[in-house]
Amino acid sequence: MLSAGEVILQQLMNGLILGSFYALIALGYSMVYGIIKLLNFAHGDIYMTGAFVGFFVFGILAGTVGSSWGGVILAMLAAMCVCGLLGFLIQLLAYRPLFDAPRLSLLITAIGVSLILYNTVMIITNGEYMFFQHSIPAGGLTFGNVTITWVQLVLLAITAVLMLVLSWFIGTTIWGKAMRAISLDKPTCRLMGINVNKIIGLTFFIGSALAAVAGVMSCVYYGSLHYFMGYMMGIKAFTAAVIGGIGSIPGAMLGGLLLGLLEAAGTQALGSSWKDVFAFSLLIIMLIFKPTGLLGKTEIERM
Amino acid sequence: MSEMHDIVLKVEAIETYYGKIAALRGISFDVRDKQIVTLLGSNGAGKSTTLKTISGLTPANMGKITFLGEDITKLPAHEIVQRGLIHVPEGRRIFKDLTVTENLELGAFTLKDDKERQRRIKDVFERFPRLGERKKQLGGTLSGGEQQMLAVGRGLMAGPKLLLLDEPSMGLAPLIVAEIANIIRQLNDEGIPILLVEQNSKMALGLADYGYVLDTGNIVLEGSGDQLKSDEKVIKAYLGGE
Repeated sequence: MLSAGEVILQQLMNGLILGSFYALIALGYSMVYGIIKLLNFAHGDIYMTGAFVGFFVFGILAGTVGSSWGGVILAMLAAMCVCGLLGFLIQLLAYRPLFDAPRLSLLITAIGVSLILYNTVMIITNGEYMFFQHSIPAGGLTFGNVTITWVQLVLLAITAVLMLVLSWFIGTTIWGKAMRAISLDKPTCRLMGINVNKIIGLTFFIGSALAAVAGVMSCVYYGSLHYFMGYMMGIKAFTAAVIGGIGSIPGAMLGGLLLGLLEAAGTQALGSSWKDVFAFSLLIIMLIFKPTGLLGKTEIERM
Repeated sequence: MSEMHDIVLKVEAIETYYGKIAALRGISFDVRDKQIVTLLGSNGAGKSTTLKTISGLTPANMGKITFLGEDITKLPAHEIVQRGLIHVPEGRRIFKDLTVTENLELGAFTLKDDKERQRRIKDVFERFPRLGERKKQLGGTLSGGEQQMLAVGRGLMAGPKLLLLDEPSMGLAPLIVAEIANIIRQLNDEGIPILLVEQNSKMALGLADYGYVLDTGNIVLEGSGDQLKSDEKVIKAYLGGE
């Protein structure tokens, strides 16, 4: 029997890990929404694709670099590059021609891209579950009857590093400042000499690469992957982005972690079959009482 | 003597359409080196569209725009900026959620050298000390006059070889308008040619070496600043006098 403190510690870790997945994916939703006001419903499938790219690269590398952290990190980097490029290309080929079209056209296109992605992966994998078998040493830090595994700690560290790097990039580099400016006023950005389409492409690259990291992390953590895994994860991450305030980068981080923690608490209190109810109830409550999200701003269109 | 002045900007018979509606119906004019040239006209005459067409925001459907000897008619806006043609837009368009410093940094986005960018920010703060005092404030929290200074400062960050100013006096108190007029005069004295669009014709004609009057997408009158100031039609229509 676990003590109350041990239960809290365990669920705290579960919540933080789950929240890391949500946050990493929510960032892509929020960045893309901020810059072109598109709810990119294909984003969950980028996460799924990232998981599969990581899975295949990990399998290929297993013979040479082994199937421990070295292989995982390399698989992660490969998935980031492939998905970053994929996100960029989707933006270039599917979305860019519609930037001046009504927003609904973009949204429907995003749903179409989502269908293409997961059906492609379904065909390639025959719709079967794949198992990600690694040889990362078990064990971790033990507190009474609870063990915080090294896997959990490394995944949290990776998430933390990525968030810090992203915050630095958005906050201090000229490219990050351009991204924020584009989300405020595109024509004026062009008058600053900013190639707006290039920055939009960069945003898709970064958002998709972050989702890919979450994909590979979920392989390591859950041990299995499936072409449909992006569906619920995408919706949850979108929920997290809305809770945090869509368009806000710190909001996506906060919303993701918060949703993860609340789901863990809900699971503990009511059982795991209730966790989705818990997440979406939170979304509804949020939309009723603070529709702009925790860190979102009221949008006022000004000329 | 005036033939010796180099033409900085040459606009030839440009036509610009919004959908099927013609906003500009074949406009031609020049801006020469060291000049302040003004475009006057009532609301909807096509003044702002002329500037947007030159800077590439609403490209011309017909006609030709030459800047420092290069045809820029078909260039995208961000590439026109790289050539030193800088457009300070109507309504200032400050990035309101970015700080004063960040707004200025973006003005020099095309600059590769960050040290040079920081040096230019210092120059802007020397020119406009009030911006320096507010450098960490968000752009949206500045007063109208300060925002206009920031908009001009942001334009200067790019190292302009020609400055297009769209309604810099809009919505400002008379005292501030005078201040803005002084700034424009000073920039021109430093050698920057300026194309100025204004509703405040008195201010514009006080500054301009040469002016053009636009009406429904056509140039209907042109002349030196002094000629226009004493033109009866101009006095009646734009200077509010008899």
